[in-house]
Amino acid sequence: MKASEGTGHAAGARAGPAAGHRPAALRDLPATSDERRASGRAARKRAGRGALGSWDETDRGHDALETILAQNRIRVPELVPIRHHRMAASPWNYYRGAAAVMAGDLASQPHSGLMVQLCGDAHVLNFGLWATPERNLSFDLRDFDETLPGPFEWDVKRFAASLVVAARENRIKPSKAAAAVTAGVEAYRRRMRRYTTMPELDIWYDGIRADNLVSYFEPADRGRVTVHIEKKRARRTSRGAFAKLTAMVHGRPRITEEPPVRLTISDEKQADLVDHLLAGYRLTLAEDRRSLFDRFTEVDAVRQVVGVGSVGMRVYLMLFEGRSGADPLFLQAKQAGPSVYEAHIQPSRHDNHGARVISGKRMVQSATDIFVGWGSLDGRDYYVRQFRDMKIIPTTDLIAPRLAEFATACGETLARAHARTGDPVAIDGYLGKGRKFTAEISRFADRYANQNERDHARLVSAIAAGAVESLPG
Amino acid sequence: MAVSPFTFYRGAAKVMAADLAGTPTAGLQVQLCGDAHLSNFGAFASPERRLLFDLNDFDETLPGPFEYDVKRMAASFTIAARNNGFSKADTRAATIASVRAYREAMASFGQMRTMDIWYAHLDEEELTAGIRAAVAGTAREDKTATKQEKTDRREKAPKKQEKRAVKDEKAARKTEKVAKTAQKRAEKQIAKAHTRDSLQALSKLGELVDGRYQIVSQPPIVVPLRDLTAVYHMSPDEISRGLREQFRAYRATLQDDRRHLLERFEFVDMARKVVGVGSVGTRAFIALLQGRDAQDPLFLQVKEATASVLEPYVGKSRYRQHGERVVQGQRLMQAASDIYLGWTKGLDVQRHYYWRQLRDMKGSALVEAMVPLGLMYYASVCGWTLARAHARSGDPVAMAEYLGESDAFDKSITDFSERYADQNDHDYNEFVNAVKSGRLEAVEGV
Repeated sequence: MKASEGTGHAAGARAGPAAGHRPAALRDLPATSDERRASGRAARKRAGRGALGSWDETDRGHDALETILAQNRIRVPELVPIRHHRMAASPWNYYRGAAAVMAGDLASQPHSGLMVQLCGDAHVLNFGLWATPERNLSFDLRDFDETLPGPFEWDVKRFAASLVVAARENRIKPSKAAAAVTAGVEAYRRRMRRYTTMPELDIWYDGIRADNLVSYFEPADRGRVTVHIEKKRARRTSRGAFAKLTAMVHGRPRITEEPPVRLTISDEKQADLVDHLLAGYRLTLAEDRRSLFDRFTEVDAVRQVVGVGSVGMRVYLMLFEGRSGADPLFLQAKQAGPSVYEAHIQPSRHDNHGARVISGKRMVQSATDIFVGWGSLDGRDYYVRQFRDMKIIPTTDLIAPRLAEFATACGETLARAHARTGDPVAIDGYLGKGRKFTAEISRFADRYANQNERDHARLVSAIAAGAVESLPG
Repeated sequence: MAVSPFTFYRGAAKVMAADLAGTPTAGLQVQLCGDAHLSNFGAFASPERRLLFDLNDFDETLPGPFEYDVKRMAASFTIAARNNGFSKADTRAATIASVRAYREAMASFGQMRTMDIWYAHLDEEELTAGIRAAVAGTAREDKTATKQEKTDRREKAPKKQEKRAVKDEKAARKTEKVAKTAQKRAEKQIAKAHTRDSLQALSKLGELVDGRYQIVSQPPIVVPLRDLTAVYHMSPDEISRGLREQFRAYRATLQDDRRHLLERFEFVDMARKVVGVGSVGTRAFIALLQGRDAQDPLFLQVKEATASVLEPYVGKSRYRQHGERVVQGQRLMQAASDIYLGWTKGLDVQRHYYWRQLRDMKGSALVEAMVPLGLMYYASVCGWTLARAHARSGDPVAMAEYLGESDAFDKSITDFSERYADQNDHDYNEFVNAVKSGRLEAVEGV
């Protein structure tokens, strides 16, 4: 049997602190809870909790700007300046686009070796609501471009620092930002503790539904949150997208152009998409979903520019129609490169980067979109998913006034994601009963937010000096 | 199979497949359940932990004409109703309710978007709400009817009729009571499903030996593999090695993330376990796994899959592995399926198996205890469910068009069901006589 990613076997490939060590092997059931807990405590020897809060720029071992620029190699050249422009907009935008920088920074420090399937980019706006296969609205992590097995604390650190960066962006008092970090990390620790005694299947099935999410907020806010969710839920569907993004041309629906965000592509390119990318994608679907997919016909495709960090990666938005009219389906194909952690931990076991993203997504999320799959085109890997399937993504404006409440929901979700693939008993053993872990992570989050500001300023001045191209778009 | 015409029918899918083969069809293909009788519908836990009502047996699944499933379902209601001693009218009402629900549901699926059909399901809340509404409906109808009669008669005022009115009111109250009892029974069954999980199964099927659970020997129903070494002409070590190989092969058929989840469980024990009516005689096993510790058990069921009884009439499956045929058919028909569905070839490579969870909140209706009202409601739920399952793989627009807006199809299928129930009685009697005369062997109480 092929060893699967994300289980307790450490990524010993790197001559780092975890080398030669074999953390709690979950398939070795003779390992008792005590042994698993002990392995978590032993991890403190590799990466002491007291050192989690430290950050030293001089030891980071790479140049932030160069790391950003190195990522441009596999991207569409004319979109690269747009990426720079978007990242330069603010430290928060920079943070979102600089997962590669942070990966290098995290890898420069000793880590616990307690492996989980990392989301890889667990910043606060990468938590959101979306409709599950059984049409529940579920609160979960939602971006897996960087997913890879790695030490759990890397996700926690990226999450915690994002709270501080987002808070500063919205001019929230430092004390409130600190309270949000504490709430988020404590929620993670408490939830992880709960998972230590739960049966495996209960952990697997655990999740936060939309109605439960509402209860995280103060009673006074609940009405507003519910209304917001309901409004978005109705609008953000294939039908909503159809009304907004398409127009009838010669009696057929076409996706409207909106340069530079949406660009039409040639008929040859569309044919390539169908013949290569979609043909391969189709085979990655489970057979029942393949038969469902076969009920749809591709009618149009455009190239899209999305996000901040992913700008420049090729993205195609594809419109399909069912057999009767007014039966639209949107799928989005997004280019996938190697995870930003691969250079630091180990290469992915998947031969297609799209497969890496989808496999990670399935491991991390409590339920996953029925139309996820992968394929390739012109030697590039892609993953495919439904576009706007009742996805509700928060905005900083919306969550800023309730950051601590939102952070609590995120912290618990992250713990659940990690407990699915890692060893909750070992991680709990490492975290301990006190607040030491939380305090240290808070310290790190603050320091790293400062570092992020310095890195952002450097990008801005490099653009001003003409050393880095930038274009609004 | 010799217990009653109803149990005979359940066990005789093969007989009916041959009988159906001669009947006319419209040529509209769907993924058939192949054995859609009323006891093959039931409740189970979805991957998102809701109790869903759906078809739950796919041993005979194959693509074929939709009428085959509808007829097998409808006739099962006629036979079950007769078995319960219902009047001719009540029997017909239950049967026609199942067909009408199928036709009406198909008409609405014909109007729905592809994705909405795919996501359509019937969960516990909708089910109990439906039962309550049906019960409240009858109670109300009966009351108004009696009231009306009472006023009518009072005007005429003869004492005799007054007495009759009182009697009628009593009867109505009785109907209401019966309906309420039926509601309670149904709700109890649903509640019971929630308690049916691996931990509960462990208390019945497992015993602690030297700090580890093993499956208790309860021959001839449950026979642990350690007691079967003679049957397989293998040493316990060989059997154990073979089983682990099987388990690994099964894991390889699971989706990535589910395989990963299963890797957190350790294989503990396995036993042969007798199941079902029609399935008796085919091989079925249970496997005990354990997660975090002994209190974290998981039971899987391993069932042999052979060629579908429909194969001679609708053609061979495109799957060479019958275990895979069953699993893929199930996924295509059910609104949501067990996350642990998988398949293997047996130790003896000639055999095929499919795997699933043994008890994941599985529940079924107690058809024998149903009153006419209950069976009629149950029939409409089954009809809707079968239509949904067919709409996923077939063309709901074409089927809705064929079925039409009148009740011609309902009546015609109901007429068939009555005739087929007669045929089934006849076959059953022959079967019983053969058992009695010693031409066939039968052991009771297993």
